[in-house]
Amino acid sequence: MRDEDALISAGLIDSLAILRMIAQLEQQLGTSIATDSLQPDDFDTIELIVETVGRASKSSR
Amino acid sequence: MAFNSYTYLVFLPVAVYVFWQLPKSWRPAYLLIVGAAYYTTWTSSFVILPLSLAVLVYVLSQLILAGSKPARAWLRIGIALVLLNLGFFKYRVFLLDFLSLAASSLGSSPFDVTSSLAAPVGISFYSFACIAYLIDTAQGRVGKPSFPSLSAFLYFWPNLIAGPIVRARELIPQLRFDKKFEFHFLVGGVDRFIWGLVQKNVFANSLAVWVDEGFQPGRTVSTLDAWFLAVAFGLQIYFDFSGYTYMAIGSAQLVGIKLPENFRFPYHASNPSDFWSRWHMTLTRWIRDYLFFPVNARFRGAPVPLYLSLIGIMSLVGLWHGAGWPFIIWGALHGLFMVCFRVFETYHQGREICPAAQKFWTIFWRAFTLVAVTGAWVAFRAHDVPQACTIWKSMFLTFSSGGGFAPRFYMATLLLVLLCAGEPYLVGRLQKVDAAQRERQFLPLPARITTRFLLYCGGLLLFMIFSQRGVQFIYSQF
Repeated sequence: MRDEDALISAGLIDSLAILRMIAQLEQQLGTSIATDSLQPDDFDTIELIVETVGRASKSSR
Repeated sequence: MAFNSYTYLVFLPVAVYVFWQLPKSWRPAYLLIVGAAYYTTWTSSFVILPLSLAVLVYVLSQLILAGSKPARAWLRIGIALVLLNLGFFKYRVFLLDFLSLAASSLGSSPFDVTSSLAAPVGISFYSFACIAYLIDTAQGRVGKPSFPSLSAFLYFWPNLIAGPIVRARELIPQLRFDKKFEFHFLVGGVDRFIWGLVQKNVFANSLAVWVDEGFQPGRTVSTLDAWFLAVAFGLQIYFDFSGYTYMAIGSAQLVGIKLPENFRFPYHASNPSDFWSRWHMTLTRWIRDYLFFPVNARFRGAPVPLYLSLIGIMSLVGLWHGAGWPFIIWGALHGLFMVCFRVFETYHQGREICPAAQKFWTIFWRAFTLVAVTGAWVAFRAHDVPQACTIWKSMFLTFSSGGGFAPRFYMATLLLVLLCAGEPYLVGRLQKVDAAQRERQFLPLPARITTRFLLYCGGLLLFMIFSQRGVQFIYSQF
């Protein structure tokens, strides 16, 4: 799989998997991700996930 | 003017021909006029309603972007106003009826709730488009709004009446019409349109005659007939809505616009959640982006809020379809099916399952989804809850033999079941090779033109033969 491959729009994962991934990322990175202005499409590729998490996370450490 | 009417078959080529003759700068305004004219043929009294909503959404978008008050406050006001408008037209009678019932159960005299004001056609669809536009503006997903482009977006006629529910960010950039005419717009659009006509007039309308007869109030049906009726309605609504969507996508393609797909072989779903990723996909996407994700993001997908939200949100999806308890029950049932699947999935997460058990559960969830979705269609189609309960009783509790319909009904239903079963394999095989390349491989140019011409004539002939059964599009009533 490449970084630009679609995850949600290609049906590989669903929005619930995204929510579980957000919870895991918060736990592992020690950050809080503000989800107020996010949509599942913001996590559609690995590239977008990195960009979105960088933009929406606030360090809680 | 329904897509499967003779009037539309005259309107469409004329509208498309004039469109391509006009200078590019005139095309947005022209399509706005065409959209308003098309909407007038459905509901002349409410032709300015989408325009009024466009004004409201435009002003609020400006306020959201101006930042004079927190964007969230303007967003809430905007959503509330759009919902109030929708509620007034679509749910007023249902709500008053409910209040009247509550009042009479408390000893007060019930009040008159009859109303002659019908809901404007397509209101559920363009209201959702407005809400999505406001949220996307607040989240910075759409640029600075322009009133003409927003109006053209809301009045774009192919998806005005019954979707697909298009996002502003995928349609507005296309409404600049900076494309030159390409032959595949014409061929692809007509292919889509004719196949949609056949789905609607030949498949859906044929079944509609028997389904209407079977769901007549007071009629009792045997177990066999109850199952056949439920399956037949599932097929009718699929071909009705899929046919409509094909015609909408085809009409848009004729003016060089690409609309999103709405169906992906829904009856081949592997579980209840998968069904909704294949059925009315643009509604599912709307619900996912603007309801399911924000609600569950707060709880990071924790089980109990997830299960409650699934039932609550799917009940609202039912209510969106129609102001009545059978629709709400239909939606709630789908929520319940999804909860069952999610509980199973959570229980098995991280556990080792042997290949035989995995195979069993795969088959089980496919079968469960088919039976559950078919059973739930009864609530969607029934006139009221008692009628749905009577049919469910025949389907699941009491067993009586005998068929009360003409043999053609059972044959037609079984044939369409076979068509649905084979659909992904047929389409999959065709999609392996690019359509144009495939034709070039097998046929010389004159033969290709003749074949296509004959197919179009065949499709139109079928449309004419079956056009006597003037059955309204099911989703145009929502």
